[in-house]
Amino acid sequence: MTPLAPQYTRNAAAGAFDRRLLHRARGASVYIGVCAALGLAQTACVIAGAWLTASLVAGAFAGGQDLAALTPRLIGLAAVLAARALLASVQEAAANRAAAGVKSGLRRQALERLMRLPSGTRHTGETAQLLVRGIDALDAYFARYLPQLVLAALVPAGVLAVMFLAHPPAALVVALTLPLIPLFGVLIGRYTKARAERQWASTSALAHHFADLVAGLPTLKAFGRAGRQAGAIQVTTGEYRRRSMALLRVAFCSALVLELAASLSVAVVAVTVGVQLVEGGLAGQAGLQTALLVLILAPEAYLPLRGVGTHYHASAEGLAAAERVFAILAEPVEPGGDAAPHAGPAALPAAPHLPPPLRRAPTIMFRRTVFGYPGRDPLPEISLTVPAAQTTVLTARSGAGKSTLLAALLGFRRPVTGSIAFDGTDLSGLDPAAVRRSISWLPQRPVLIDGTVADNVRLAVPEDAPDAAVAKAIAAAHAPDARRRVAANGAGLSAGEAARVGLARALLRADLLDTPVLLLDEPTAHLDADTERAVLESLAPYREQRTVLIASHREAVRAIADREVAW
Amino acid sequence: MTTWRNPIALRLGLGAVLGALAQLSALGLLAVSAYLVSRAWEQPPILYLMVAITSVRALGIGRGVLRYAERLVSHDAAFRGLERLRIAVWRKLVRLAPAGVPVWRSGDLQARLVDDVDGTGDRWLRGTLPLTAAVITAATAVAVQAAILPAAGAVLAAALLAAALAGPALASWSSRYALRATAAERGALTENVRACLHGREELVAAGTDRVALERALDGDERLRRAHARIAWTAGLGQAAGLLAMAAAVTGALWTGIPAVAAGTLDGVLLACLALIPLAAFEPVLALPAAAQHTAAAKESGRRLLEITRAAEPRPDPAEPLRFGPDPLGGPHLAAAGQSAPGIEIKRLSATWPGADRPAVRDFDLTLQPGERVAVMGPSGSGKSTLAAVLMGFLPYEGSLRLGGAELAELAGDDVRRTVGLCSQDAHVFDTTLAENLRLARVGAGDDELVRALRWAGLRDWFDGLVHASPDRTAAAALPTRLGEHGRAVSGGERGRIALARCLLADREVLVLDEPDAHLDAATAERVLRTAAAALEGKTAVFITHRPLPDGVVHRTVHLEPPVPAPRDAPLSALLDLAPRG
Repeated sequence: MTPLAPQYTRNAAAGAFDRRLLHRARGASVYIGVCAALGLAQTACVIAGAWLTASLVAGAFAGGQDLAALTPRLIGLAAVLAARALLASVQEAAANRAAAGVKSGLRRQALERLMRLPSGTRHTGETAQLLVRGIDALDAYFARYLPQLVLAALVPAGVLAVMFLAHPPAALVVALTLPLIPLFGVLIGRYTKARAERQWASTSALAHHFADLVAGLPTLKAFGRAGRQAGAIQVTTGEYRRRSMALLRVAFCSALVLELAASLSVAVVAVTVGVQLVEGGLAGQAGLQTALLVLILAPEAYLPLRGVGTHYHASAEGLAAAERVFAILAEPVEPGGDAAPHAGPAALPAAPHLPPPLRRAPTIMFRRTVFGYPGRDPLPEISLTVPAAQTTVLTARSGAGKSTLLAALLGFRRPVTGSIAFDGTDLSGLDPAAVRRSISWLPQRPVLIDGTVADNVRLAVPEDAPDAAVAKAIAAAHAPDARRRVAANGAGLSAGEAARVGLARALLRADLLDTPVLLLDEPTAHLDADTERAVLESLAPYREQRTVLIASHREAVRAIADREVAW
Repeated sequence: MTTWRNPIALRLGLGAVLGALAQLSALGLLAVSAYLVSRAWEQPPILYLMVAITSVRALGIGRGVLRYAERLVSHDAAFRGLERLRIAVWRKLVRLAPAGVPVWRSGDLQARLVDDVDGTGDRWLRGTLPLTAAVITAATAVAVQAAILPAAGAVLAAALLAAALAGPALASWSSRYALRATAAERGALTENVRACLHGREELVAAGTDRVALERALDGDERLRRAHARIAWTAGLGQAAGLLAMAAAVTGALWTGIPAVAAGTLDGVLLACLALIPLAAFEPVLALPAAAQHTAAAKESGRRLLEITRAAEPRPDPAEPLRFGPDPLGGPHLAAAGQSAPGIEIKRLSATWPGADRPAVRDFDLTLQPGERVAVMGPSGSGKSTLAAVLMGFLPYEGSLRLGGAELAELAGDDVRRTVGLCSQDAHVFDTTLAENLRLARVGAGDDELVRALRWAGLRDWFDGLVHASPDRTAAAALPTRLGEHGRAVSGGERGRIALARCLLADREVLVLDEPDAHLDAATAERVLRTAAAALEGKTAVFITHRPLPDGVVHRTVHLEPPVPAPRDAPLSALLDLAPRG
């Protein structure tokens, strides 16, 4: 619900000049410099425009000059005002260029970090939206708000300086009222902060509640409960409106102070110089020119401050996205996450006492391991031996933690209690990179990237795989043609085809790295019986001399097992 | 929207008037100040200036106060309008759900629907109101300027018109241009980032996370270049407005100075002539932003209109047959012995809205009262369509008699008082377990809820909840929150919660759509057997794609996908089938 966003009640100027955002930004300091230069030029335009207007009016009215005599100054005024328009446009273009670089840098940092954070705690679709659309929303912050902040610092200072030179009493009026605006902003912001945050929370709760009801409408309708919800919605939103309005009555006061300060001080300046003129304190053409100059300049001192509020409001979405990105950047990386062999200089030194990778097919032992997820009951305790160089099929019921076991072997899940050992060596004592290099893993839903089937199969190994090896793996997995186009969202492949691309990837890895361990999570899901049989047949050579662990319920898969385990 | 009825329209009108008055105060302040200073320079007796001095002060206060009042009035009106719109949309959705709108096929669309309602409320506040204030202020400024000097009035009118037209047009062109230039890159980048995050563990395990990351970031580099390339267009709307203002100020002096020299204009008014354009342009310079809000809101409104104008898929008959638990009204609901109604389906065909061919064609099936039948068929054979027809969600051709009454002649709500649906995609609401169950039967006691959970095969799961609850009682476990902000529920658990809900609702006829989806064979068998026992005596249709364990149903019928008539296929589809070299 947009009419009430917390930014109304926050003080726009304080703290919004986000150091982290500028600190992270490539080329941001250059951009701030550009903003300052353009801001100075705009300040000069404001002052020159006011001076030229005042002198033109005074020249014609008090000095009795005609158009011919005043033409140069009139052309000058047109030029200054046009330059102001041009500067505004240049400012925005420069800002958008700079913002493109900053956003790109932020996106890279966030994605690099995310690749090293534990999975499963966040919604991948939402996070992808945050990284693309959310970060793009920072445009308003960089292109409008930051330059406005610079203007809000430069213009009042420049205007005040000129007014002091021209007419100190009028300048004093502005100098005294100007600080009232941020002062009241802070006071009202503090006063309403807690309430505004509560209200903001209830705003999103209300939207979420409505979305939840819409999603469940077919269910409500099936039980004849949908019609009655309208009344409940009315009560909730009515209550929400009353609370929102109570808050807004206070929150809008900061805008009221701004408007009153700006317009009353113009009135006071007008009356002050007017009275002085009547009393002969400012005589002649020069006197009128000075009076008009301060009258035109006074409102200009307040104008950028009003813009700050508006533009802060517009950049709230981008700032909220940035806030979430910073939260991601601050999260601790996954244990062993730094040790990925290609993570660059951040890679940990490999554990020295064990030669990576594992050489022969190992025996894998789970000793009384228990896995838990936050907010859920722990899975049942498991003790299990996977014999070396044999094929073991896990047939435990759904939800019993088969996929968790496989992920644990790769170091992505840690048991809460109990241990996992390869050939008697505890997994925690092994270098995770070396362990991962010894394993070929087919997850339940293999990843797909934009490209061809071959590009996708090549994600098996960091090195560039030879064409022949890729072709062999594709044939063995009965995957689609190597040249077929695949989109990252899976368009172009059926679920069964996608699974076989994943299988081809696992087989290619097994071939090229000669991994002694093969982990297959539901390798034949989505396949019809004939394809399933063909895939299992071509799997046979890959099972030789390897410790193979397969999670599956399928009858045909159980038939190839040396050992079957259920719990 | 037709939902903006009078009280809200009045409030909005008041808001518009207050907004315009606030802007006019600003205009008046500047004009009267300019007059005051010029007249004072002529040093008349100060009494001559008192009116000007007083009105300058009044206008100074008026502007701030009027603006404050305008904000309160218009926000209140927007909230009220939003409230009304939400309820109107909800009422319409209730009649459309679930066959009439594709909203329930994607979570994305649900979120958009909610945003669209909010976005439409924005239209007045940030679109129409600023526009109204700008038009009134600009018109007044032109009138005043023309009264002082007709030529200056004409110049101001032309400049304001140019700014009001060119500013928003350029601004909306540049944002559309930016969107077009970046939309494809953004979409591809989003998908690639999502793929990287989703496949993170696989990529890290393979050591190829860097490879995939760099490939995704190639797209980011392309997006950066696209943004940089179009950066120059962003400020055009703003620049156009400022240029027009420059022309208006210069033009006012260019016409005013010769008029003063010629004596056709009193010099006292020259300053007014120069300053009025500044105040007149202030609301006009805000128009590009207002236009963009309006455009976005229009888009939201258009999508909502699609929903509010959508045809009801199965309107209630004009004079529905009375039917239901009421024994007096029901034609042949059940004999006094409380046995459930039977179902008689003859040559039934049904088509989803927007589809060009029926999903079910010429289907026959008869269920005796109290009989449980499995309808088995591959995906695409129209099993879920049959469920939608039985629930009164979808119209049909042919005949479907429920306890002797033709289903089409019954009101939808009456049908659903007799027929219950246990659907594979039933929603688990973001509320407590107890509330999720009680929506099936208001006022059901705790013991009944627990019994329903046990019948649905959730005994172990619920015992886990009891174990984790503060004082380890069922009463303490029932208020456990489920759904998005509560405890995560797996696909299998969700299906069984739906089953528990259906058993609690205790309908005479039950349609179970894939009740064993997401369950392993052993659990599925256990759940189906207990469900069958709980349904003893009720008429039930089990929709399934695999054979059910013995004893769950009395018999099984097969549903085949309707054969598409080849002549229906468009030419392009036929060409697609042709073998390629």
